[in-house]
Amino acid sequence: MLTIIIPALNEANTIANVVSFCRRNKLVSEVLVIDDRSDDNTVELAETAGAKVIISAVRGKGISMKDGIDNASNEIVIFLDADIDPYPDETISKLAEPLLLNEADFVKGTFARNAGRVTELVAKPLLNIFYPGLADFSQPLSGMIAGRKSLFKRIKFFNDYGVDIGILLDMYLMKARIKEVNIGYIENKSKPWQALGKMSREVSRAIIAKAQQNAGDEIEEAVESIEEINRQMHNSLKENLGVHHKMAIFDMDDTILKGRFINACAKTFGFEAKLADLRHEEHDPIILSKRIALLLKGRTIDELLDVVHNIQMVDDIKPVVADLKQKGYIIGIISTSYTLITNYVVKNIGADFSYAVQLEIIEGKATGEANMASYFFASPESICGHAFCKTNAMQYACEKYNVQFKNCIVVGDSKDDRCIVGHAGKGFAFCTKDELLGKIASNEIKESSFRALLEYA
Amino acid sequence: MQNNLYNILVPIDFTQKDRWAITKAIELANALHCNIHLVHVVSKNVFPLLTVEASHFYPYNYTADLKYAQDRLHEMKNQYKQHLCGKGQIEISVLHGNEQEELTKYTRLYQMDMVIKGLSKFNLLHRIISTVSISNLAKKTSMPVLAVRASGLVSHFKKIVLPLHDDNIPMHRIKLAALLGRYFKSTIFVVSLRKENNEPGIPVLSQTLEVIQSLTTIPVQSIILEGKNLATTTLNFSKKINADLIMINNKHDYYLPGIWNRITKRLLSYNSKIPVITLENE
Repeated sequence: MLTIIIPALNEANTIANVVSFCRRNKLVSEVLVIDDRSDDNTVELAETAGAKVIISAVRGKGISMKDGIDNASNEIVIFLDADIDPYPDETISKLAEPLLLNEADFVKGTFARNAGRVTELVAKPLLNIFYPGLADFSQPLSGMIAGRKSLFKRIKFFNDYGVDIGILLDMYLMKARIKEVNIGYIENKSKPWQALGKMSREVSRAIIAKAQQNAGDEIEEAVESIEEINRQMHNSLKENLGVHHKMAIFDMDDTILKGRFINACAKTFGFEAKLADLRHEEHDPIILSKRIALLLKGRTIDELLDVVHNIQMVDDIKPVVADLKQKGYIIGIISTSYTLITNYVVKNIGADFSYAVQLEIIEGKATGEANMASYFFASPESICGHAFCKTNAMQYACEKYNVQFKNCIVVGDSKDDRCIVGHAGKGFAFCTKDELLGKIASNEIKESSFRALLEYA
Repeated sequence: MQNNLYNILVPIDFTQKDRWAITKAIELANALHCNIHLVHVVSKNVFPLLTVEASHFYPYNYTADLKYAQDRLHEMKNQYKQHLCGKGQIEISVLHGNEQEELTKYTRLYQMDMVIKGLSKFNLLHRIISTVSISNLAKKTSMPVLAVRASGLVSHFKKIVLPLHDDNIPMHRIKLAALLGRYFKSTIFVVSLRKENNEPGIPVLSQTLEVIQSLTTIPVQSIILEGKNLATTTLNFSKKINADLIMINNKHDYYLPGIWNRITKRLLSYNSKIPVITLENE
């Protein structure tokens, strides 16, 4: 006789039908539902349908399966998924037959469905390298399995997505007779893409962990080949998927803000004349930035944020940012102002990141020191070669978010923005007074509105 | 702005000129790690001067030609791939139909960034017969078209000459020059003809200089040239400084002097031993 084990978590929609389906088979003497502490009425429905319900002590499919094995009273056990309804009529008999006829010790059920992405892209390539003997299994991750309790008891179950492949590998390593049987067509929901990353990680970890436990001489070569494949695949994916990523970068002063932060500070704190003198005397942008930061020495965070709070923003910046994000754009601010201020603006408009100069703050007050972030400085790969430039920061952002330059929209207003606007896929000169920026940019916006960006996005 | 070239198209007609174009393409591919696409278009025109296909008038079985072209391209690929030392690769394709239309379609479909075309020394007849003139290629594909002649081959673009023909800043050419200049550590020479009224300064020259300096750190010089025809004056200047590349637009300002040259749209590329890039748009 057979024991059917059904691990379940919040399966109220299907559990009753699955239990009834099992109980209709004459070979089945026991149906165990191992509940993973469901929040719905899975337990009641399973009991009503005639199953023996065991509440799992610890959540996780592997533990549930182990609990099922420990409580099964028959030597032949079959694991079925709780979320499949209906099963093909012959499912149980097809899974049990090779065991009953003593043709196999472990049976893996396969079914007609679209190829699983993790199966094809992760599990099969790794099995091919580490376990060529299992390379012919069409669905190595299938959860519909049958086997002998005595063999299952010798297995240590993974408690994540690696559980099914782990069992297959253990059976293979114990030299159990393994058979794959086709049980027909099953309507199986594809996992959401968010779950695929976790599943890929856990499945690959299970395969590699088992391979390492049983490492022979060939493991080193296998590791090298996997690393090389992984490197090439990573590069290829980066190059090719970058085509689909898009980014919009805004300058802050006189672009998002209707004014310049430091000018507003000068007016508020009374150093307008000093600021004008500095701008006249100092032409090196790094030294100028550091000397301007000294003018803010002793100012509290609250005072500085109060200044930016009182500068108006362009009216439609928030809806335009929302629309751009809707279209898949990553939104950033690249400014030679201070991160304290750009981060405030980022939060206000719903952008994703900001790159700016770091104003040193200790105990809530500006020390007068400004630290130039490394992303502004030229690297050997710098596209423009300028020692200190916003384009270097854009290049850094493009690499971080895997965006190609041609998919970048940049909006700027001043001479400082010529380079970054010129290197962007679409450069916009925004209400600029700089004649050359207007010529460098692919488009010019003359009104104080970002709505025009949406036409090109 | 494009920060690299990814795909270079080399139209192949199985003549000596192909070698010059492929050699130049390999130089670029090795520096920029881009792919080279060798493309041959099988077509049979009714008359040499007309681009009307023979198959419209009488049965023409082009299968044999396709097979022959495929084999030749395979041979070329095997011959030249050993010269590639970057990440780029050589792709080959044989197309059938009107040469210009097929090449234009190919450039759009596979996102070409540049076309390289070999020019023969005695090229007048060839240019008239050929449906793929530099001017037409640049116009139809909207791609930069680099024309090279056997004697114009050099290993680097160290000196790039960028002539100005009107009061507009040539942004497309500047961006391409900046891209190439960055890889080849070039110097850009921005040149302009002195105006007839002998004005002391030419604003566009200084503006162009400033734009280049805004976008890149590669060295740039501006020079006012004496002369009446921009094409010949640029050519003479480029020869004098031993330039490696000239970048022009597909405009009449760059036609060689003489009525015949203007009628036949004879760009300075045809008289230049120095490679010339022609861009359609400014």
